[in-house]
Amino acid sequence: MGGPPLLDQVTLGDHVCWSVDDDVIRMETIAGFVRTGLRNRERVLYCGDDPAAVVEGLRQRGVDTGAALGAGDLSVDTPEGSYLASGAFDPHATMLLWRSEVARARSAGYRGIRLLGDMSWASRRFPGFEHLPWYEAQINMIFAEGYVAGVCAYDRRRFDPLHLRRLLWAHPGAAGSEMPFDPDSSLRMRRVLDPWGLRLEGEADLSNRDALRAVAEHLFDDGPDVTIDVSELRFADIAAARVLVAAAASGAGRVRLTGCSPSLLRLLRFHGADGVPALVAEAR
Amino acid sequence: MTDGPLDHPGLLYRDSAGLLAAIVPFVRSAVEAGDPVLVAVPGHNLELLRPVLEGAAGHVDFADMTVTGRNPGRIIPGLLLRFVSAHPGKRVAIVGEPVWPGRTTVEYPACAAHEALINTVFANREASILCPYDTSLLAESAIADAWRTHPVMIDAGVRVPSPAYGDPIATAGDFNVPLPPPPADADVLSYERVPDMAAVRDFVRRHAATVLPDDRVEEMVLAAHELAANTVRHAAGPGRIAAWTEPGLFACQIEDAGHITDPLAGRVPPDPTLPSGRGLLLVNQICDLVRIHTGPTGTTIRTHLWAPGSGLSAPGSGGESSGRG
Repeated sequence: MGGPPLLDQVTLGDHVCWSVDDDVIRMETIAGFVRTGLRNRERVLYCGDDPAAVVEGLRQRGVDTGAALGAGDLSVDTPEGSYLASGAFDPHATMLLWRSEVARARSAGYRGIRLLGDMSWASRRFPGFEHLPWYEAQINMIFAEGYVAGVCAYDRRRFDPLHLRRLLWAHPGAAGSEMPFDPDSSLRMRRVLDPWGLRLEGEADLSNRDALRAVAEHLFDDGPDVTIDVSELRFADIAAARVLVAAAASGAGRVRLTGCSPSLLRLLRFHGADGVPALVAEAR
Repeated sequence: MTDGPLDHPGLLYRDSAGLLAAIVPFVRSAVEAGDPVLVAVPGHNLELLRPVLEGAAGHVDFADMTVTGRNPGRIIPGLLLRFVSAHPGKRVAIVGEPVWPGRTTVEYPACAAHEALINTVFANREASILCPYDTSLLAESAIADAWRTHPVMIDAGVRVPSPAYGDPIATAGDFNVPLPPPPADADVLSYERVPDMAAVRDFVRRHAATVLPDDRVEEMVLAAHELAANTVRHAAGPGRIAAWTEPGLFACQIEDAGHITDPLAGRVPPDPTLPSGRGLLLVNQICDLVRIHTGPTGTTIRTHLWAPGSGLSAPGSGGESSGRG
């Protein structure tokens, strides 16, 4: 039985903002997301309200929850046991939590973790919730490592639209009730070890600007020479190109862009890339 | 002869001899004074002037206005200001002919607004900008507009202050006129929110690919995206984009409820420290025409990309035009 295919294309490395407004679609979609993870040897985590109801919903939809929970392939937790473990929302502690979950899963032989975060707790204004947009942007560094497939479920009925929009921009990908996650129109950012740097794929626009900006802020954390492969970056808007030029102009390191499209080259020049010696742009 | 540092005369000429008789001394005296010179005129006048000027004067830069200045909105930022900033501390001399007989009726208001706004943008710059008008081929209304957009005119070799010249921003505003509606067979897409942008890009990509080469398709996608993104960011309510082809060009028209209040938007680079506000400048750089009609009730922007070989004629060489034919 297939649920609505909203999250079918989410793979390790993707960080998707899922705007939810229908409980039946929500449960069907979660079930599909969990099944894909179990099939792919990813450890599946659900963190959010009422985990028992989610387990029951999965069971009713044919997931062998007893076996999956027993084997450690699936685990569920409340917000208080995950995001709010310190008694408030602590973005640093939460990022450490995911890093340790990745390490545990990898050492147990899983390919990574598949995380569904039900973010409804944030609508109840727990202390620290104001750090959420910053956290959602910064956490893209962890996603770029390629060991987490993450979906943050935001219930449109519970969040202020303006606040939700801000949160949406921190995610490189998005999904909604009638809009499946589409990798082609999302931004995929992946760590590349040789040459050291990143690979950008898909489309960079205002829907994922804060995600790109947060990753660019940390571009030189591990060294001053970074290669960014943009050969599969199908579209970059004026602001995305500005983020790349600004990173190279910051003085913190050197950027080599490989596989630039003609329109990206135009945008880079438009932002004065010719006057930035720390930026080398190679044509596709 | 002028009050400020800018000298912006309109030159009325009837034939090649008249053009040469005015341009050659203008260029020669600038070169002798050590001023950098740029001659930006349509191809046929370039062929006429280049051999004479290269022989008679020192170094002169040339540009084909029908290429570099195809889009009137690009002439100030892409040609004139660029030339000025390439020669810091120097007075520059420029021959600029943005209005030629092949300009279409859709293009023309952007040309006239451009001429008016030169007076504003260069008001405090050391520059002589001489604008030739071909009286034998241009419509009488275009000559009348030249009198309105130039503080001084050179007519039959005589410099006279123009009695029709007025406040340049107000004059440019007179050319902020409604655009013709898209043709009935144009395809239309509505958009409202950030997640709709991908659909806007796909819409433009799909239509542009039928007439434009791949690189130009992606540039058109970029231009349309930035215009639609302006709707999403600044306008109340949804926007509509229409796409169609005409002989020799691909056209997109965007309509929304926004109001562009800065008459120089897209024609001068904004403060480089500002994070946004450069979209229209980029669109002007990419497109071969950007016409804007804006007011408190909404904004319509038409963009053209020239599609060589896609139709019977290139824009400007036929059809409706501002010339007498």
